[in-house]
Amino acid sequence: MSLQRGPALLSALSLGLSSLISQILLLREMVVVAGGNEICLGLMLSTWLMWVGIGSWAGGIVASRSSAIAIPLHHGYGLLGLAVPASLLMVRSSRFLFGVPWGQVLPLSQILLLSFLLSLPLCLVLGGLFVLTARHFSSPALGIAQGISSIYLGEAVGAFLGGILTTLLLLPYLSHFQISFLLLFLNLLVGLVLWRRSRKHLLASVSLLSLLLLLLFALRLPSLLDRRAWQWHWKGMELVTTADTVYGNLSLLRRGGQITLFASGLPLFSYPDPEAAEEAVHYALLQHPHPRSLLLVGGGVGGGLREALKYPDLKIEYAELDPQVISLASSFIPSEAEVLQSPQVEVRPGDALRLLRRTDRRYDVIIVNSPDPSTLQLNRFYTREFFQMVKRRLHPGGIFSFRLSSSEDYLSPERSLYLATMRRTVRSVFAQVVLFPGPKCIFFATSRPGTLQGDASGLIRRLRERGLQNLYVNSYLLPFRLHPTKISYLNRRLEAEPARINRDLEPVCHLLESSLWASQFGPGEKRLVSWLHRAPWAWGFLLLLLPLLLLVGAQAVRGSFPAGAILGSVFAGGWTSISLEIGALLCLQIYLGFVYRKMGLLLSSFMLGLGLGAWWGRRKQGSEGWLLICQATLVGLCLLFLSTLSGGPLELASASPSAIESFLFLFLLAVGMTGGMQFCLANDFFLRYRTRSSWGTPYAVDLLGSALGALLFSAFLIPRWGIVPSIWMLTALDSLALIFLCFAHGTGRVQEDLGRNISNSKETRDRR
Amino acid sequence: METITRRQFLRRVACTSCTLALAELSLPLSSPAGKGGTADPKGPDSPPAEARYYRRLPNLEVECQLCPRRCRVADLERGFCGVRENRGGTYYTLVHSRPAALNIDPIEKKPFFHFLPSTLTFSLATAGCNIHCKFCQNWELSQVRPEQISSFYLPPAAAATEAQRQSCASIAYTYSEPVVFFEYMVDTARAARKKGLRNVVVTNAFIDPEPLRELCRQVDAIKVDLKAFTDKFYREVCNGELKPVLQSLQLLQKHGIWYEIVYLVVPTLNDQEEPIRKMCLWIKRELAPDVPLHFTRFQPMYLLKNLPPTPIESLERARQIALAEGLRFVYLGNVPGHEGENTYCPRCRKTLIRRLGYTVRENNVRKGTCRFCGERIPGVWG
Repeated sequence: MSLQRGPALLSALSLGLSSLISQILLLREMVVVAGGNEICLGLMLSTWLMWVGIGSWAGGIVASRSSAIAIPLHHGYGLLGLAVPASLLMVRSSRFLFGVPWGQVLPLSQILLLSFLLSLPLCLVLGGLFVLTARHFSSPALGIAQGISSIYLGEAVGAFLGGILTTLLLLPYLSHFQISFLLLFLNLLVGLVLWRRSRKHLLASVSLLSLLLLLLFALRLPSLLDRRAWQWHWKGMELVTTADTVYGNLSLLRRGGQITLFASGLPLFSYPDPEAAEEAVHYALLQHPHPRSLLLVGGGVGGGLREALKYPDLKIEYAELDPQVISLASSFIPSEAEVLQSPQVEVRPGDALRLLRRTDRRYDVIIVNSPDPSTLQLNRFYTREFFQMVKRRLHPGGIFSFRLSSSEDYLSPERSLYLATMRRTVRSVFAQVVLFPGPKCIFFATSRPGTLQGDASGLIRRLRERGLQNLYVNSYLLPFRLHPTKISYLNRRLEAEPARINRDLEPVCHLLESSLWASQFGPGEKRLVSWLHRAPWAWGFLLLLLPLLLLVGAQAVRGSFPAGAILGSVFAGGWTSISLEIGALLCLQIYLGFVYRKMGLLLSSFMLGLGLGAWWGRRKQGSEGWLLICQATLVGLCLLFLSTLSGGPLELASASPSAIESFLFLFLLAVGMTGGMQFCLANDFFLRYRTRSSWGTPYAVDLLGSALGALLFSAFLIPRWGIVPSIWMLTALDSLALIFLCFAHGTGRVQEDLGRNISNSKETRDRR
Repeated sequence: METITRRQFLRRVACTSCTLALAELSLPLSSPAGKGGTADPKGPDSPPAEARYYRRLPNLEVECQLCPRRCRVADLERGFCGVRENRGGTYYTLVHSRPAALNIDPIEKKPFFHFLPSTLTFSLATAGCNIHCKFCQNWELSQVRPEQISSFYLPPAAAATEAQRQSCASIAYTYSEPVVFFEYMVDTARAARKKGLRNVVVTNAFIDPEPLRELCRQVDAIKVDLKAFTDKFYREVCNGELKPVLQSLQLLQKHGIWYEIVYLVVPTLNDQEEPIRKMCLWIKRELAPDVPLHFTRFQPMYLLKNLPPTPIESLERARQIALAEGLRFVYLGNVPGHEGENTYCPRCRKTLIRRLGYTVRENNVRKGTCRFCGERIPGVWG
């Protein structure tokens, strides 16, 4: 057994490292493919867990039917290593794979299909290897359950290390392909260790492998592959540079003398683009009778600052969520670097949300020049909570303005509802709100009624008074842009729509934006999303509770209700753990905006919790009381999360981002610990009276629960009802699972069944 | 020289705006009939109008003969456009008198640069389109079925009356694809002509020759969106075909109706020099060098959001190619203030019409000729 310990530990750690690091890499890639939309995180996690579950089920079959598992085992590690760079290549060439023209965004169905296919090879191997490794290293004395628990623990520790390593060391310095090559090396190494004939052979092989890796890095093959894959992604344009920042992927592309910065795949700004730059600042500044101070949130280096500098007395503070945007623009657009040096301009890199919270200054005009709230990261700038902060930072009579995509000629019901929701949100904070129609609908708000100009004439007068020489926002074009018929059409369409208020934890606009996005791809997706909007509560509970009831019911029909209760507990535990994990990731994004970089830390804290829970669970195996405690703790954790969310973590986040990070880190640690311990205990109970073919069952049920949970929580519950009601539903699920367990415990049937099954299996063995 | 000063311009715009604002108060048509996307309560509950250009087939099927798609439609099914339905072997248009978008636009917005400059046009559109462009700026109108959106009830005669009341010189059938509301367009054009109004069509020209001939007889000008000059682009990006569009252009030339061509330059997809050069040569050879050609700027929208806006340099290069190949009136669109917005006399090279966006700042065309050298300038000027 002692000879086995080293390879076993290495294998388990490698599984965990590979699993979490490749998960982080692919989640980040998917975020870029989906234009930053965080729903894809849940979709990806869901398909990931599903394939791992199927892989573990298949691995269980192989392990139970074959005694020679060494060959599939060491081949499996080789395959695992190769699957990571192959998956990266797949995601970067997704347009080619789906036959989508360059430049086109992928439809929702294809994003789902991509996440389905992307995780297939990698996760099947991961799931299969988990069971095979456990089988390979389990001792006859302790049994397979102990082997699974040990590998589960080792994998969790590996995953924890992987998350920390990736977030703190790998991602800041290495590209995704470079990291994937390190994983390739690690898994080939594990394959060699498992395959070894003698220590001498092993040393020679490891040395050769290391040399090969060094050679690959010396030849810059991973970097070249990374760049080539990006060039393929951006076919037709010159890729000037690309950078993975705390907030997402930035790609700077050049074509025909124009530079465009893409953030997570969508254009942030182009230079030169005087039309966008003028529209970004002049309308808002013209709304103020004497603007002296401006806070510009986003888009300054795309030409917005240059336009604002046409006001000689204006003091400008410029905040950009991602400081890398400013540094990239300064490096590659020299004229914009000059603008940043102007004495009128003060650059305040960092999150505008925190800036507004911390600063004592007040402004005449605050402009949010960000893309539409297509992501939770962007939705933060369009919520009631954000608007309230803006209001506090404006001088009396100060103007707040932002723009949203619209249509000049026709407003569809979906578009109208989207704009009406935003108007209602702004109106819930400001006394006067005026909208200007156009390809971008411009919102103006102020606390002093009667301040805002509702038509072109007042703005034209101010244009003349200020002597502004604009190409687009000028006295010739304004009358057409602000034609009275267009203004009145816009207002009437918006009045007709029953709108809700967009909030941080109830991101209605983000959902409506997603709905608009989905409706682009055809009537099927449009119908699905519109059903999602109207789905009754009963559907939510049905989808949540039905699988649990079916699972428990099926076991009860087979005459083993306690086994059903145990599996139900595993199922609910998997569902809740992953949902709380997604909930924590989304909260991090909502409050701080940098899930792209920090997702690794949160995922690793969860995995560390799983490891610790598994370790603790091994010590408590056979204790039914602890299983009940774990299930009750999950209910308690849901309630804790709810109470934290209702306690205003935004205040906490604004005061100290690290406080909310620490809370989420510790919270996920606790969730992981509970889930890990619960799994170990339930797995032990279940396997004690089941046949060998059931080795993978609890693991598969855990993953099935997690996969369903990830899918429904992120793609249905949260979009339909928001975060808080969704967690209330989770609480209901866990409570039901707890009731089943209590019932099984109360009747004393778990121990009885266990005793009977154990004695039955002993009799069977004796007869043989 | 008839130069419009800024003061004059503002006065005109203000007057027009006031007229429209006042007129609008009394307009029943200006509010969407279906509030919140429900069925239209204002229109009569009458059956839809029968379509033209189709033939009946056995088993209650019909074949639409309006566009080259030639949809074969079973009973109770609709064609590709989603606005024409087979009911018991009779083909109906579901959008006759049911526009969903109504606006008053400057004619330059369409864009028409050689047709009644600086006049207003009464723009109307229904749901539906017979192709599917991934960059459509009106996709919320063109890629939906009529029942999915709110619409107005506006019969042809009422449309003509309103256009006249709004001081518009013409009615424009635009935004989505007028070919799919052919019957409504033709009926409205007839009614408009009776009131002395002109009719202009903004189309992809993906239409069969026979209906196009009828259209040419009823309207005064056509703007054709030539999406690209490769069939690959038409198939992959527009779900259409290039050849029928080119045949339509040849037919327009033969018919003698006034038409202009717009080419939306989409970065990486149709901005290559060679196809643009071939297109210009084809226009010169098969049509005429006098046909105005507009290269317009793309903005990332609808499904093509992973692209940048068209660089001005690409537009300028396309214009240079067209001028070098001998086309005489080549413009840039969606780039206000650019010299490519202006019309220059092909003989004396002087500026004939100076534009800024949709506005005409200076017009030196007199009775269809250059004010400076007398050169005939093709177009409809009065």
